[in-house]
Amino acid sequence: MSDKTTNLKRVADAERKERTELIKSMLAGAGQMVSLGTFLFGHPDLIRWVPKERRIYLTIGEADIEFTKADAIADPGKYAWLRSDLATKAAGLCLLRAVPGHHLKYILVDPFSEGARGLLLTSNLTPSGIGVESLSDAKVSSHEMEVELSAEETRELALLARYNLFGVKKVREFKRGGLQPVSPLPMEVPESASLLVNGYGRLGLTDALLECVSSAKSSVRLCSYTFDTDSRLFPILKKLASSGVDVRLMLNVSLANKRASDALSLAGIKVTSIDKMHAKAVLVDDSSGIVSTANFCRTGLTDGINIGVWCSSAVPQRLTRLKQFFSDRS
Amino acid sequence: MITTIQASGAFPVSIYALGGEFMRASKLHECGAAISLIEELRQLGETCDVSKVAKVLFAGRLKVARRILQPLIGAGLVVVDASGCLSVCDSDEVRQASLALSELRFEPPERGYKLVLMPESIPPSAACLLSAFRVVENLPRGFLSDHFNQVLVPSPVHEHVACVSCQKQGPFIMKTDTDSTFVIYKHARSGVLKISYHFTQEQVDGVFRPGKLVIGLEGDDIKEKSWGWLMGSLEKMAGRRGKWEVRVTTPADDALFSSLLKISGYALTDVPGYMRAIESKGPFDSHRSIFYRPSGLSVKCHGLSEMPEDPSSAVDLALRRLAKDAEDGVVVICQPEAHVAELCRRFGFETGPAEGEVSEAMLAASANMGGAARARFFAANDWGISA
Repeated sequence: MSDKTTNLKRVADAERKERTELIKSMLAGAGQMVSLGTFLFGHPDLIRWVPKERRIYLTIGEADIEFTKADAIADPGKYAWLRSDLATKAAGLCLLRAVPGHHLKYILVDPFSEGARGLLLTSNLTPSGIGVESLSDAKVSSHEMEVELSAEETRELALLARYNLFGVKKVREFKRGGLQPVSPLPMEVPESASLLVNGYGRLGLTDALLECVSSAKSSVRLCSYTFDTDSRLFPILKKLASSGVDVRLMLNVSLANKRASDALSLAGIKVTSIDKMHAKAVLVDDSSGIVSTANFCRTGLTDGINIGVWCSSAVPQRLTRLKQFFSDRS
Repeated sequence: MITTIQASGAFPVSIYALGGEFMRASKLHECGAAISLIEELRQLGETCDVSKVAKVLFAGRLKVARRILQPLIGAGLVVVDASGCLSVCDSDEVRQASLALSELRFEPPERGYKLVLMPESIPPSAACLLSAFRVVENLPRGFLSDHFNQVLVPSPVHEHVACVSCQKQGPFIMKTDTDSTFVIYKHARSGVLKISYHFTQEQVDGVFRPGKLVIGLEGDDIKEKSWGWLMGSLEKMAGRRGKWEVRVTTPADDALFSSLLKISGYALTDVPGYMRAIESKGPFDSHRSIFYRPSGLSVKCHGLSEMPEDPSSAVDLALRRLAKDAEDGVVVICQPEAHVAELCRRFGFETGPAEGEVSEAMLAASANMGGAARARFFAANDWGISA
């Protein structure tokens, strides 16, 4: 393992530890209820960190994961529970619903009260992004980001979570008898002024991303778990690079990303492959950016339910953290 | 979410479907899936053969695919051309029944399959659905296409049921009348019996709740032998959680009434020819509805098992009901305060529970609940939702 790889792993481990402590403290402070959102769920300790007698609502996107034992051994950090595990381990502890296309990752604590807290994650609620108490489950850390949400963003995300849980069609709930369909309640898709939202026929997040990247004058830094040449960002990045903008990407190590990397390199864009890069963020001219739950490949920008938040000088801590994320890995 | 299902179609079929029986559901499921696949591929302009059905539905097991397809082909529901391509029969009536079958939804419980007929998938023609059921029910015993074509004539539908009068199996004619409020059973030797029915059933978060049923009987012969066979279906429909509310609209004779009372899953309300009164037998006895004949003869106690004495006990009663729903897997989507207030109003308590009393009572009621049930119990409060 090279020094750089070792260093990157150390950075990811340290960030995961910090993130885990933040999440633990948020959950421990829950007074009434906690709402959790993720694409994959497979965290053995998370629910236990919520004080007893609080209500937990868990929304997941994928309930039918199939992976081989070899996959689990190769990447234990991304271990996600099978449907049977979800039914037996999680469904008895919380209201657990599977929403088609749900790709949001968040933690909301007492979202409709005065002390509401919200955290947007790029990580699934699995050990690769959130540390666990048994070290054997936590061998691999992925590179992730988290953003503490403002009161307004928290409220908007809570309304979105409510819509996903109770208003969306084809939602299924884990019950004693298995995964059962539930009837949606009649409710309107909530409007979002602060959050950038993809899904329900809207592409606010994608539009904002394209606009943000297109506005680059001097530099673009972008990281994603997946990226492809069919992405709507691909021609924009090529055009920016050809006009002299310093464009650099950090992509997860994968065969699919390799093809995109080769095409980007031909266009003069510097691409760094980083093992377990799972964050999805963009930083433009070191002055503004977006952290999102959506990958920047074609399907990530067009399909599913995703959200993102702005990082700018209006929220200096958030912008500093985004810049730090890229500089730590450059 | 509460969805109200109303059905006025073929009576036994509706009970069968909405009740969610397990009977032969796996066979129905496999047949429906095969028909659905064949039709879907046709709409995509692709051909479908036995090996494709095996590959898509049965993990490549050709023998299983053949075993499912053979009777469908034999019955004429599925047609095979010279090159081995499968298609759903072109005949409108047959096609309608085939596709009605494929519209059924099945949910796999731990073992077998549970048939769940969702409101949107109730086919427009109950008679066609009935035919499809009949066909599949009969498939294992060998069902010839001629026989199928004979059965499938949409209206009237021929059925082999025991004659209500002579108790012999015979070719009855069953059809729905023009406004679908009667199912008419006619037999050459027994005359005509009209059974009117209308039932509604609520589905809350995918769980069917006890419904309301209105029954009426008219005809040349409405004695027990005319309707006794119905009791089997009614018993099957009852006996689940909660009680169905049954209203009899036509003057019922003693035997019919007594038979209905014997079915424990029903809460009878209005019965023509009988008077209803609520009576308390003593301080430790529950309140009950008692039906009287005009002569004053008490027929049987029936009805509520308990009544709240004051607003506090109304809170307790209401929350116990909601808590039980939550424990049974139903998400509470009515505001508990409103639910309690409604119960108080219904029992004549002008002042409802004191402020904060419901919240405290909810915390107490949920103290020993599991996490999932607690979340379901508090869902309406936590998320500010209401049905």
